[in-house]
Amino acid sequence: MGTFLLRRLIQTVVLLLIISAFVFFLINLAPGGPFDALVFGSPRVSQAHLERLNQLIGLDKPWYIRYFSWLRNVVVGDWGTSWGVAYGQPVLTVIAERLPATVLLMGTALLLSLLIALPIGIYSALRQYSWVDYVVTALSFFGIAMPTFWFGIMLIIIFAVVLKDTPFQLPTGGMMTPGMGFDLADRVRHLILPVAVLSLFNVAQWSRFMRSSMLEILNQDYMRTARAKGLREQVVILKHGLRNALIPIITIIGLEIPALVSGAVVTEFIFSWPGMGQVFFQAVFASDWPVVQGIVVITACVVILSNLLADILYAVADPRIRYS
Amino acid sequence: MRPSRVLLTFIAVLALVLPSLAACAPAPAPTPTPAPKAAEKPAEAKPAEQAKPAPTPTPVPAPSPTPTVAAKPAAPSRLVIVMGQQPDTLHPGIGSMMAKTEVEYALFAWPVVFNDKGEYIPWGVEQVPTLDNGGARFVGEGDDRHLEVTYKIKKGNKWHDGTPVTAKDMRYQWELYLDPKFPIADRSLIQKVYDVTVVDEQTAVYKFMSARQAREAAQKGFRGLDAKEYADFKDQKDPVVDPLYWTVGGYLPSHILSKIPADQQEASEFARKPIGNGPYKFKEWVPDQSITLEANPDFFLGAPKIQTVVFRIIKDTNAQLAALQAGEVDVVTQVQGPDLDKAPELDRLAAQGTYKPYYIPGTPWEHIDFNLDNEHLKDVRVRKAIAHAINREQLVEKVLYGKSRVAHSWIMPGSPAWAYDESCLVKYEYNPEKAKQLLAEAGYKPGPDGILVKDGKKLTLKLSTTDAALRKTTAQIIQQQLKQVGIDLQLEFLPGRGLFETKGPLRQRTFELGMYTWLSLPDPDRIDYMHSKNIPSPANNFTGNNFPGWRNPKADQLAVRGSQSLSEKERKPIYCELQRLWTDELPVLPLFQRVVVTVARANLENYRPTGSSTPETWNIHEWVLRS
Repeated sequence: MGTFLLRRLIQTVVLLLIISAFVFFLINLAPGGPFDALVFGSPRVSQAHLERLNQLIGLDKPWYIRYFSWLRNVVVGDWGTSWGVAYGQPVLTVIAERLPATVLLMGTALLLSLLIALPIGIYSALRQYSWVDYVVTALSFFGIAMPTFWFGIMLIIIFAVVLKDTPFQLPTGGMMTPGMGFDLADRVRHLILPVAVLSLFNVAQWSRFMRSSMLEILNQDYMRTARAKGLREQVVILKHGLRNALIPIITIIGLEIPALVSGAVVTEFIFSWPGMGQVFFQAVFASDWPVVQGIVVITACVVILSNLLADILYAVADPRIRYS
Repeated sequence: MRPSRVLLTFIAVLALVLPSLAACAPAPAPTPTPAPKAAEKPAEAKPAEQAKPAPTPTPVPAPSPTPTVAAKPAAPSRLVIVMGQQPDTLHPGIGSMMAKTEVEYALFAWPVVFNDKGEYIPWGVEQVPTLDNGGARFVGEGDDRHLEVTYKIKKGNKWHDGTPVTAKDMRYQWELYLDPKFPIADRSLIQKVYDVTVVDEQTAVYKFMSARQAREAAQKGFRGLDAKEYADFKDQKDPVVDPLYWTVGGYLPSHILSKIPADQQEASEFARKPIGNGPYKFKEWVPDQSITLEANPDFFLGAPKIQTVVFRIIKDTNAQLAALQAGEVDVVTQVQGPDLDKAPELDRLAAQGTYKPYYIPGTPWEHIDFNLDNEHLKDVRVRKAIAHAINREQLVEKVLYGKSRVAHSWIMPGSPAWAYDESCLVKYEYNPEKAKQLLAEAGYKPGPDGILVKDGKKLTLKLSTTDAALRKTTAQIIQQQLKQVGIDLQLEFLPGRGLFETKGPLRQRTFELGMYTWLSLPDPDRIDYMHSKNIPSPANNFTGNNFPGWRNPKADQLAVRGSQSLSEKERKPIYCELQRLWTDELPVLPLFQRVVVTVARANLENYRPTGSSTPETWNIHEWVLRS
């Protein structure tokens, strides 16, 4: 296991170097810099002035020279400064300001989705073809097909406008009511709708996974053996069935962890949630390459590491798997 | 209990608990802004269209702001203002986002302000210095003759920490803005100032460059700025002037900023937590969420009536509408706010009486550039035919819901009033028959598919524009209208960056027709796209905005004379002639004035949006919420 880990960690570093170089190159293929459209708002600006503005942020050098400067600085902890989203602010600060909000949103959605999806999936499997199963299946298809941007706006209209002045009214967006200090109830009320939107898709998908995984297990021979041995149904299902059915779920959750960091652009945009997804979107449109590069590299890192974690947990959960 | 029962119970409990979490949470704190009762009067049939003439630049001498009485602390109240984007910084000298300007005008009170009536009024200074009132004058002789503009700061004009605003602060701003390491967006005006003299605490004199100083700068540069940035003054014979010279003055808190080097100002605390001299003080900035400001009771033009102002960032326009309908917000600004496609919803909201939408024909104007080097477009008859073939009135009706007007010149009515003169314009009414006639004269004959052909070449043209919804609709309507006269118009939609970038079709002049928006400044001088030297090409390092490539020696002469004169009497006939030439040769076809859309509570008094680049918040200290 030790050699396995070491090998994987080395692979991680190499992968990150390749990814960061590739992304840097791709970004710089995109048309325009942050100041190109300046003249359309300030018609008297001269080309010489634009060149100076570009020079001040280092855009006068070719991309490969800039990449090596970036790499050299990253190693000592300087990820550059934003020149679009938050002019002059260090990239790490821009990210650090948005990361907690994203983790809160995505983490809550993840937990809630698991809490709902797993029991529903298991029940569906146990009561296959019952009316509950059919209802859940239909709702799942609905949830998977539903576009986030439409569903989000519909929820806002229902809960903020239609239910206005009722105890069920919810805010239209944001993380908190501006001006209020930290108020738990206020934060929870702001979380409800965006979490609901995110959870819908997850619940729909994961309950299907759980259901099919459980069904597969229930048909195994050792389940019949366990019952034949005289064990209680509860023990058979939970100890012999569920534990094995959860293994593929671990992989799925492992793949979801990067979303904790990268956020969900559409949901954050609609609910004005100050997260990583919407700041990435902003940075791309503002041609804010340092921020884009920073977020991509961090996300890549998290993806690689969470895959590694999923692999390790998989080995832990399934004794048949051993890495060398 | 069977496991399935356990599960079912668990699910049922969750299904009950979650909604009741919402219901049992304490009722929303009542918004302190008094929620106005439903309309007492019958709904207006149409929202009040602000048919204001677009601004004139003539400065108004006598000041008339609210009297500076000893301020009573305002009753605690709160106003929520929505912006669709957040500022990238709050440093007044960096960046050019409208989002920043909205907040900036609440935090800072600048010397001169351009108001909603199109007047320049004295705000932080005693009078707007002009040649007419003696605040500005020419000094010296011959090559050393130069323009001097004197500002006298009002007594009581103080920074939020109590330090008075002085002439030293004006000089400091000039020094900083000319520093080559300071990333200012636009220094085209202030770089013309050779020196700022501090006469006394209240008085500063801005000295524009003389001809000699300008030529020197074009040779050797000035204060670290490159000679290239003064290339226009290589052969300067007259004193350097600017048609908007009275707007050159400004100030910054030198007692705070002079300690910070120019290249570190963008990263300073001041850039995120500014100290201004305006009606509101900075309180808090929650990134991507809100910026909160508190009233400044010592504001020299009168304490604001509203205690707290919150700029709330709501990015999605549907969510902005929902916030209005839910009564959560009080004002929606034009910053990435609802565009005209939301006009029907806004009018419905107005009918309920709680909010009032404002549709102001603004200074930006939509137009089509013709590339005069294109084989078809180089014939003026083809250009005129296109002008007659497009039904611009219909565009305004359909795309802008009738809330704007057709544009005929680069000068909008009233912007400035002395320069806009219908008798100087050649107008093109919608007349498809005339269009067909002109095209026939130009040698085009209809081909078998109805598209015109000349010398074996089809009249196929490509229109490049951005992919904004309004532009797409406009482009498609134009495509249909041109088809009626036999022109095959291909449409190309690019992201904004793609159209405007240095390597894009406009600046590289690879486009055929280009549709986009120009700002119209409160002065008719647009030498940047009138003069032939401003045709971007490899030879001139792609400088200049004359994308059509208009070359008219008479127009060149007129443009230069117009930009160097300060006398309205002298300039009026110049720009009349220039407009005649421009509308006759039609290098550009103006389409319509863009509309600034903003929404405010019906009971918000003194809300006076401008339609120019002055933000809605310019007079925020006068706003009152009547209950």
